[in-house]
Amino acid sequence: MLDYEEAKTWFYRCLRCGTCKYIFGLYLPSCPAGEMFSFESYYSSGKLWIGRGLAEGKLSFADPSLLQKLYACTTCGSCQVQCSLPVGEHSVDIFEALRAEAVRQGYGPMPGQKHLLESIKNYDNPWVQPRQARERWARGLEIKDLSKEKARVLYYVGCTAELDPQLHQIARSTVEILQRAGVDFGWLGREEVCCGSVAMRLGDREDFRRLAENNIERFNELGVETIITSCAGCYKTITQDYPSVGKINAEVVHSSQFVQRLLQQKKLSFKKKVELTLTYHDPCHLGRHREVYDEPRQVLQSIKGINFVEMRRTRENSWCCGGGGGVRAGFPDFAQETAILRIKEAEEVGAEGVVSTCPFCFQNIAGGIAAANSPLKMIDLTEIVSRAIR
Amino acid sequence: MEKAELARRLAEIIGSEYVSGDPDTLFIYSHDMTENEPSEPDLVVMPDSVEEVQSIVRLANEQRIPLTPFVAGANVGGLAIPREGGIVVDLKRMKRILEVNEDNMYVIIEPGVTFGHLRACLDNEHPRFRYAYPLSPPYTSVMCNALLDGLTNLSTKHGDMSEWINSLEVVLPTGEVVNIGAAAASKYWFGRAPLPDLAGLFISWQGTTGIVTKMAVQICPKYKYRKRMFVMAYDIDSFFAFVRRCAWTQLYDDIAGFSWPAAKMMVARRVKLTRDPDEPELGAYLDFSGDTKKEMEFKEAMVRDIIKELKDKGIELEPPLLVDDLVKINPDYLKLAEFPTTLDFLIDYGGGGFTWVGSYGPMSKSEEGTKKLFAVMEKYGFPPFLVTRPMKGAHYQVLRFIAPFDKSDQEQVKKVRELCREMAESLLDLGFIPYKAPPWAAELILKRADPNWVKLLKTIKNTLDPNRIMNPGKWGL
Amino acid sequence: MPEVIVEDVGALNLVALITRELINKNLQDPNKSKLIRHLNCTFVLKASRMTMTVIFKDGEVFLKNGAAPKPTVYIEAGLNDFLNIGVGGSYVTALITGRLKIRGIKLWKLLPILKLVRI
Repeated sequence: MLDYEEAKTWFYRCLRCGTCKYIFGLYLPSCPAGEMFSFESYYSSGKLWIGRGLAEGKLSFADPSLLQKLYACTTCGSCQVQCSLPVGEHSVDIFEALRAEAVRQGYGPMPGQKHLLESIKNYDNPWVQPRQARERWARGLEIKDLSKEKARVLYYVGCTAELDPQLHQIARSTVEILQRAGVDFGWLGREEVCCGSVAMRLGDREDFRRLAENNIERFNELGVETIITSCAGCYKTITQDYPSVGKINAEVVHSSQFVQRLLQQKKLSFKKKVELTLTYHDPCHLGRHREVYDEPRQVLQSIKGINFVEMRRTRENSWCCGGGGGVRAGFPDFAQETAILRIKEAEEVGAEGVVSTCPFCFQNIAGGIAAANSPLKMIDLTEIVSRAIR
Repeated sequence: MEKAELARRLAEIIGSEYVSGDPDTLFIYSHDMTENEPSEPDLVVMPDSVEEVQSIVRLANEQRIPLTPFVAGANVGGLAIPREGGIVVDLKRMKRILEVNEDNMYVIIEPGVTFGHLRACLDNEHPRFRYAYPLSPPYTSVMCNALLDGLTNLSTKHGDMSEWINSLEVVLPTGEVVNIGAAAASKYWFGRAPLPDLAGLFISWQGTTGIVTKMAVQICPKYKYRKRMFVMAYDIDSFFAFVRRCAWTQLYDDIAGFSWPAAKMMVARRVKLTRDPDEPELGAYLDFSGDTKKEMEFKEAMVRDIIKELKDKGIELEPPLLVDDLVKINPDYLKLAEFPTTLDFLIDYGGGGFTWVGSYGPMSKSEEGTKKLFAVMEKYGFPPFLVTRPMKGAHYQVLRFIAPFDKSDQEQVKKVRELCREMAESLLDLGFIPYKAPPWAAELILKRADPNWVKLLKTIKNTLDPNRIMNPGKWGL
Repeated sequence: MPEVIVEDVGALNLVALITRELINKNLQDPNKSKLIRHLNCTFVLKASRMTMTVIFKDGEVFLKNGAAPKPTVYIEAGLNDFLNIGVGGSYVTALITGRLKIRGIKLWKLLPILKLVRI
């Protein structure tokens, strides 16, 4: 996390050589915003030069067209991977610092994104849902309530998997896996609050800090050894952004990592064949931002019957789903077109389904599949795992 | 015409999403990485077809609005900065490789095709062929490089890249589309002979005579084997003696030289460098390729023989180092061997400013030019950073003196302007001519040029572009 | 991981810069990095005209241009031979053919030094 003053030190470290625009060697596009809107200002280098213009007083956050460039970015971090200069390592942090400054000055985020921040303030989730709605997905399941009893593991479900009925299966599958493996776990039910990812990405640093402080204190009170997240966004936020706020006295893992560990410890085994040709979409928050590439693939590849195929742009070079960084709320057409490009890539390699490990990617790619009338199925890794262990 | 009305008319041609007058967009298109003064356009447009370019040019010509063509903006000469405002025509969306003609060894490309994309296309779909690649970022335009007399890693053998142009399709400043070269009279875009060579009306004119929308460039066979060796020299005279001797064999694909700051930036990843007096002053890399091992062995042995032959004459050189060995130490050094490459080692410093004075000139003056210009660079406090190579079978030499600088520091920007001017003057004194000449350098050239040549230049310009809309301010036009 | 300590990287000559890379690469290997713990000695290399000194002291590695007087181990080779040996070429052959010259007061330190400057 950078503040605006720190970000300023990087504005003059980019020559606009253009290396951030494409994947070196493959020479396929790397920047969803650049691909969609084409003008220089939408690329990573363009945003860094916008920083110069702001620093020199030639540009202003008050200009709505400037905000458009700052917010039409999925913060996927592909530019970070492609840029080989030191500034590249900080690109997303710099963009987020610019957004935070826009919010601080009273201009950001985009109109279509404001309701997300208001919802977080009012309901502790970005989806304008009452707190008790978090419990709907778990009807009929017996899960320890950690506000009442102790367990070694906290399953931190995340707002999106909890509050979007289309995604309840992710949470239910995760619970099934944990129970089958005999893991001593529980959840927080209606007391769970947003991790703050949305606030952080949109530049509301104040609310992010409030949520982070609250969660860190709560996690530490629970005395759990491990926290499992279903959401790549929660995982990135807790492991990457929380350390600047406070320390969590527990290990934080993504569900895909935890499942892989259960397999290694032989606490889980796959009994049933799943005869499908599947590809894996790396969520940006899990892959590029946290370098978790292997575990989801290892889990998938250890399920009998799966014909695993890789897309052309994969791992650190993955094409973003298009949904992150507030883009799905702020720029729905852009989000959808980006997802459709990913879907075409999956179709090209003959996949029947796209597996991912992020409810946000799930929503956006599933939306793209419907819009493109694609025969592809969108599947979360935990759903496949739960099918294979039954 | 009012800006809003102009934007509306342009939007009718290409769609409103490809017309921008946003302040941030105008700010970005008004600058490049060099010390050249920024200048803001009124609008930026991104056409996708020759018809759209034609309509934009017709409108601009009718309204007498300046047009500046743009692809990557990485020409290191301020050539895509719109000096008199008007419309920047960003041709990035026109990025199709329209034809790869293996039998006649050419490709037809649009302006937005980059070296990276051409390389990927050839490697993946036409593996028997290669193009030539410059020491520039991978996403610069193949077409702009050729039109601006750029150079590449096959220039030692074949000359500057304009020589690789077979044919052109150009939108003239008055809106007509014209085919140039073989394309004028044949369905095969195979070359420029035997017609009057009108390609010269567009090469090195810096976009002041029209917008090129298609170009056929030659491709060459890719040989089975390729090798790169480094040879270090302890002083300027020994270095050029070696380079000249190798170049005269006309055996090598590339013989590029670099001075010690370039070599050390790569390894040390620092800009502030000092030279150990016992260190080589310059190095050369030699690329050679061949279809048989015997051919490769011969070419390699020849280098060793040349080093021995020169040693007998008292010229000391280090025996060759192999790039394969360097790559074993650090895989990053592969960037020295495989083009196009990312240039992080050259541009990894604070300040984000990068400029050079590049020039073509008599090979016989290389030593003198290098010594003189190193002294100028040192006088201004810049490390003596040179990239050089013999061109076209040793018929001329490129001397390119490079100065990274801090663009946020106005004092340094001023200093680098003075440095570049002094370097360009010194090179002109020696008979070298700056290439991709920024407006200030073009002025220096025009002052010394044959007045009748200047007159002819202006006559041609006025004939082709009567309303003077194309990239005004370049070449003093 | 320990790293070679250098006062001013920008002042190192090419041979010193390459040696720095070689040693740093080797120090990433725990088996090789433990060699420096007790390797208290001074190593001088002359590659063509360039000289550099590596000082191993109490588990730290210092590197600079120039030749320290009375080194524990002194090696002399051409730049190309040094590079070739550095990337795994035979130093025995180079020694036999006279392309590599070694002298010093504690030559048994040579082997661990070579392990650190070769990959």
